[in-house]
Amino acid sequence: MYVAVKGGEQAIDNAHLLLARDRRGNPAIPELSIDQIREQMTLAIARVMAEGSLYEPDLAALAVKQARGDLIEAIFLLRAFRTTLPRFGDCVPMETDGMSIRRRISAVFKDLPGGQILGPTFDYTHRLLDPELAIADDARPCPVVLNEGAEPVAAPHILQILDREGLVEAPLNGADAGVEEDLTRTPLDFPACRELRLQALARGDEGFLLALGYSTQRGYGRTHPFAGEIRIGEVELSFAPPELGFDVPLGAVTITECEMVNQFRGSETQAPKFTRGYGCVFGQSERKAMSMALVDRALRANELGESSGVPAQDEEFVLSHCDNVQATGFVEHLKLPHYVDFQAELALLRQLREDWSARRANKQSADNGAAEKQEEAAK
Amino acid sequence: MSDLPEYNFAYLDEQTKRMIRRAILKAIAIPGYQTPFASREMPMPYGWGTGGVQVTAAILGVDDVLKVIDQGSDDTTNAVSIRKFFARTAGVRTTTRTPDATIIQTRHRIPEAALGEHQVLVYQVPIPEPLRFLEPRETETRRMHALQDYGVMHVKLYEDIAEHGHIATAYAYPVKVDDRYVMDPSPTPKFDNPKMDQCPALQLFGAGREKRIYAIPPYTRVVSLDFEDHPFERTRIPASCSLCNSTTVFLDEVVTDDQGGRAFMCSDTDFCEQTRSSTGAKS
Amino acid sequence: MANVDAFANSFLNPVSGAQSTFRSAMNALAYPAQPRALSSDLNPCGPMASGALALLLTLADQETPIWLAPSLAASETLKNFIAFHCGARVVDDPALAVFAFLASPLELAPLARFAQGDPDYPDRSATVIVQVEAFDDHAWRFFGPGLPSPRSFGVSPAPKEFVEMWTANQAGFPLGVDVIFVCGSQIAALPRSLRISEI
Repeated sequence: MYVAVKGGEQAIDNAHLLLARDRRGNPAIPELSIDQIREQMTLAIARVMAEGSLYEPDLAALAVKQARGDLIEAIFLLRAFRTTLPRFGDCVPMETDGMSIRRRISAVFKDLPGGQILGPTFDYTHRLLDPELAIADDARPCPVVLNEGAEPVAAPHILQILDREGLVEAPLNGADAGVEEDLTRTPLDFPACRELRLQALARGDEGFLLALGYSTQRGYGRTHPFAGEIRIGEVELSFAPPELGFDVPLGAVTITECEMVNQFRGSETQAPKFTRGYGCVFGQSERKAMSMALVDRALRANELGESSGVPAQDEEFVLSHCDNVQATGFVEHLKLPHYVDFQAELALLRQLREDWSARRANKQSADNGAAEKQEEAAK
Repeated sequence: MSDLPEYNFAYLDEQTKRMIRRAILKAIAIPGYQTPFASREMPMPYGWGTGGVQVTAAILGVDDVLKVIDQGSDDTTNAVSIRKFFARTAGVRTTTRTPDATIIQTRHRIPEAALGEHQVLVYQVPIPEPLRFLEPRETETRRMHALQDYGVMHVKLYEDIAEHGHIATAYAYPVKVDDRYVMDPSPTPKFDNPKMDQCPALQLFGAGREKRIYAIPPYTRVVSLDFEDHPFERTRIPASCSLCNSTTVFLDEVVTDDQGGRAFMCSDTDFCEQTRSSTGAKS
Repeated sequence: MANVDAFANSFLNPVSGAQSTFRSAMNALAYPAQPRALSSDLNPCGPMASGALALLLTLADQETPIWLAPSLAASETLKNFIAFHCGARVVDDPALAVFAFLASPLELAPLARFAQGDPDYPDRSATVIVQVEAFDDHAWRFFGPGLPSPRSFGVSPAPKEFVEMWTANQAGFPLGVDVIFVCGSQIAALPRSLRISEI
């Protein structure tokens, strides 16, 4: 019985031991190192860092190992650590224009300044299981990439090209907006500004955002999206201590950025323009960045006067349910004992059933009485 | 590898404690009102007491004696886990004896023993909004509280009566605090509701995932919602504890076999032990 | 004492100092209109007494703008202390402050100049912390949450027309301000939920 009257403490200790044993698996198989996880499970690390809201590949790798590969559990581990970290200040808003690009594509132009750069993508792989990979072989030569080492090219954002012609609305500018609120430091209230929504989406669950983004494509809040540009690469971050008066570089982070071009819109006073949806996440994760951009655009329905009440447009619904650490905690808390409430419900249900039977019995005897009277009368 | 993390007394950093403490003071000043607070990720899952744990961590001091119960019992797994957490991160004394505790963190029960002025009762709350299941939108429910517009709640309770002849709510039974705010008492059985009224101890409620703290100050009027022709009734289980023979307490039903056999025993394990040791009942 | 270096003036143990100060404040609001112990190992700072200073360090930080009554705001020592020890922004407009500090109850009026909160979020209101010379128990009569029976309480110097002022503060409930009085090593509080009557 898991709610033993006594012995809960020992049961918990034992559960921890069993967990540690299962985490290790067969001891005849070499144990995974943090380095191996960090280098070879990069996309898992990326997701854990993105939804854990902490760019720290080593700790993310440790979390993945400790969580036995359960990424939501790993995200939770990283979050619980992050929340204890002191805040020194805000970094200078990062400039994705200056990204050193590893991948950059646009679906809206055939060719463009800076070119289409496919980079490391699954996109054109055939999804056939590769038997060669089944054998771990330290002697396998590292793949040689064609054109490696070519000069990096300047790659302006494609939407800037449209913007110059006035064909698309101006981008949201974090530096101008002066985003002061931090979702993790102030409780969210509704309606939330777009900056706060983006904060929530950036750490939101990939699967949840994927499903919501997908729903807008299937007609639940259609936004006519085009993948204006998706870019992946490294961006420098810096910090400007007020007492120094200049920026101090902090290092580089890998990010994926997605700019969607959506449904145009105009008014009496404004010529029609395309609108935008924006997505940006730590690490390489196009699925997440694209989904985020779709949902960001859908959540602007009120602002753009196109609200139709579908889930992806519903700010309270989306923001209250996109956090997988909150969601998994509350869903799984149903495992905790609830026998007191169940007991109270049982007592109530028994009482309601007794009352119901009594009413029915009364009614039946009343009916019988009436029937007998009728019979009497008929005689 | 990064440096291994170090944690503050009672886990939370001082800035977080200040933020929670400010919310607690506001909650006390506005009885029954849900004060938003910037709830942190805790090292236990949301829904497992993170709100209660944050409130306890913010008020706890080295001289406190902590008791943690879940379902009325000190030995349920989650109670053990939270008690251990504070014993480890704050080094405070813990107890299972209700009168000895200065802080009692609870999930789903109010202890049977009367509480005193030296005590604080901290409730873990999953859904703090009593109107949530009638109106899912926070923007709407906040308005309803502001306008004291509790019509939907009365309609719901009245529909219960129309359908079942009773108010069909057995736990998390809504109350009105100091004649102003309708409040969710957390999923305690309605049997416990009368204990909240004019209680000498401060009652604090923490909802971590929903980021709300609320309070019932000591000696505050707490009334369970009802109707004149259908007054609030405390559920009573027509049985006695098979261990201590108590009849006036909330009883757990324990299934003893698969033939419908069952026994009842006190949900409040400390109360049961104390009653047995004072009456010499079988144990 | 007044010359003690403001920079060295802090809780001997910041964690337990803040915790015990908070518990005193919490209990003062929970069991209102009755003086209780407030221990503080801080030295006074300029015109601010040790107890009020302890509340400042315990409750205020960079997230909470504070307002100082002119008698306190005149002290550079105090302002330096605040900047160095708690990082709170001192604001000129009392309506923007989360905490307001007064050197005397005579500075309480008008309470309406402090943030009152809004109907959806009445918690977005000010807590007013006031230094007093003495507590007494024959000025006003209070009843409401926290009190099992009506209770007499007063402060000196007593502001004129306090009953009207507090009646107006209470009438706006759940909007309004909460007041914490500090006197030497004692603290007492009046949450906005408390009702008042003349004795």
